[in-house]
Amino acid sequence: MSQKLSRRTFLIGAGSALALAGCGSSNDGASSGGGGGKVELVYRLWDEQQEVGYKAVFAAFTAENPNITVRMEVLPWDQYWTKLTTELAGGKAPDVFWLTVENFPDLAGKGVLAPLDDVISKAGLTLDSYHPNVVQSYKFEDKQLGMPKDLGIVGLLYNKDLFAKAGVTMPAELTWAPDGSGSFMDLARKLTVGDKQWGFCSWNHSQTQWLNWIASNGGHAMDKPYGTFDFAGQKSIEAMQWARDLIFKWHLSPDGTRTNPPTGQATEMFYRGEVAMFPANNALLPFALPEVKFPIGVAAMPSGPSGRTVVINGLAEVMFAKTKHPDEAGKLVAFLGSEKAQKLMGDAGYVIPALNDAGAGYTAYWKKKGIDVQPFLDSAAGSTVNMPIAEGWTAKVAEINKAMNDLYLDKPEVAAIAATMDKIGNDK
Amino acid sequence: MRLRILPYGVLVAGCVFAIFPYFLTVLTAFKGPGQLSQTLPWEPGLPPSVAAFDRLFASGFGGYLVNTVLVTAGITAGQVVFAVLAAYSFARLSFPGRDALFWVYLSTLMVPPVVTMIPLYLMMQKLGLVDTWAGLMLPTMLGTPYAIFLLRQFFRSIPADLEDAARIDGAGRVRTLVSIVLPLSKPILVTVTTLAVVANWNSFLWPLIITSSEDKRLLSVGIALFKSEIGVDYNAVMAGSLIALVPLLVLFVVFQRFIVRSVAVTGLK
Repeated sequence: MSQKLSRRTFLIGAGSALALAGCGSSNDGASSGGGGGKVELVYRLWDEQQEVGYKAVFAAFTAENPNITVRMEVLPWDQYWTKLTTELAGGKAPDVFWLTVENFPDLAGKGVLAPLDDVISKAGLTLDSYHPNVVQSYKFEDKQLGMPKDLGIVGLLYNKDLFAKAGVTMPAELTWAPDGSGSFMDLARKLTVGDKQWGFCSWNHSQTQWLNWIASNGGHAMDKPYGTFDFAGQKSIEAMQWARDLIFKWHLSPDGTRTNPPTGQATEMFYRGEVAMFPANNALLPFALPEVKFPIGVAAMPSGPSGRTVVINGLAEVMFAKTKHPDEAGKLVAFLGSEKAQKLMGDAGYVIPALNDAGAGYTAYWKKKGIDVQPFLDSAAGSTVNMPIAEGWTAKVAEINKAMNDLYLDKPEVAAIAATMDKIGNDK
Repeated sequence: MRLRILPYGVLVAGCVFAIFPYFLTVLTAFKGPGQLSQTLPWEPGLPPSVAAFDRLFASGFGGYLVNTVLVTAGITAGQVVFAVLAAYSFARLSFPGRDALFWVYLSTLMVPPVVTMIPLYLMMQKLGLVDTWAGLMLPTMLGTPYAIFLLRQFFRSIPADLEDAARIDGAGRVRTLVSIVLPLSKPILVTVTTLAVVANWNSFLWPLIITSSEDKRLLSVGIALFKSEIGVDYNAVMAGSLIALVPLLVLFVVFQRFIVRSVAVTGLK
């Protein structure tokens, strides 16, 4: 009753499917050079706000290098890494792209990032002109694999309305100590009203919270980059205990049932005016400003028993090792590190440039918005510490941060939490 | 009376539960700057604001919308045409290894798309189709196992006598398919089309990986752009989701009758 599908019919069908597949234009996507020696480079980033700023930067670059144009690709933050990994598996990537400290170790050892030392020296730049922590973050086996771009630094945001209502002012210097002494806690006490309003928010956020307390107490999360974790060291444990005591002993902060990630509630509570003092990366300001109904003040983080040490988190631009246009991409990277490019981004208020002494424009921009951001810049110029990094870091950091959720609940012992974190971090 | 109250109570509760996320989507989309953190999630922001929609369209959302409509229409058309042909072959033609081939093809349903993504990307790269419309559409355009399965089951339930009668009147294979089988298969065709539209409309990972240029960006990727490293612009994300939701809602309301019927019919053997 039925016809047989003949072999010839099948082959015709298969052939036309292949022909159809060949129809697409054979644009390679990553980087395509047009005619007449013109080159288009692809620059990838994840921040839509900064995309606007980079239009001006690349216009200036093309003015100096008429044969090179730059096309930007903006990707969503979460998927930036998915796409990059897939592309690298296929042996390609954008010519120049952004990288964070956290994601650097996963790429550094794989030979996909071009060493930039020659590019930097040929352009007459020197790494000494950039913030040493950001330079250090992107060094691997004595090679510089990232051009320092900007720095995120932690400071203390505060709600000026709540300060006025409590009749207090922000002093020039705040201090804390594990035993509960110091001016920071006195101030937080005056700003706490029952369980409606909290002087502070002690919550599980490595960059803006516990890594700072550990460093300011004279401890360290890790002895050196790619080294050994030491959360169980005595100074670290004291600092972690203090973060817990702020909640359960002195009742100056909401607890982890409300603030533990991934809720994002801690930041919301500050926005709503339920928390008076809130440590944040300076990059939060453009997001916080439209959300709050009160004037925001900025202060330096409280200094601990061994002074103030603040976590710094710098971004870098990296160059794909197998780019088809290494000379042109090198020129672009060098330009991005130049004073001209870094100041363009800083002056427009997007970032604090990684280039030393280029932050004046950033301060001026925020002054016009009514916020004095100088404490951020002063903190960056003072004692700073990098976020820890290790081999296979992106998998480990998620586990470590998750384990820390327990610190903000009233169990188990701090030492047990620290031991768990060391185990996750140091396991090969 | 009590017996009726209970089932209706359960149904109403279920309804509220199902509608609540959409309710939040609408409320959040129309909240202005600052209203998100100052109000409770289920509290409307007063006065309502379209600021989020302004931000959305300033980011090129209109273009993404057009792209998504075209890509969804293209892939869906391909999937339905090829699935009908494949399903009819599996149901009515006889050729060596037909059933084995069918089950092998069907078993690809068990492979999560994430697993095939990198190999597929490499294939597209070798074909020079990265960041092209062809690379975006071809991998899924030639039918999906699920659609072919649904159609095959339905075609098999159509009495063979009808087709034999057509054959006696002189109709060939194609004529039989077009004039006899397809008109009888409207409900299942609507279902397959709807499923394809929904899947392609919401498709995220593959468009993200394979395309890079902004002129080929789809809605789902455009919405995700409002989730940044530091924070999420929930207003814009919800405004985008709301716009993305409307066409699917219309589709479902219009074809609801068919969809329910086809699911009921395919259950019969």
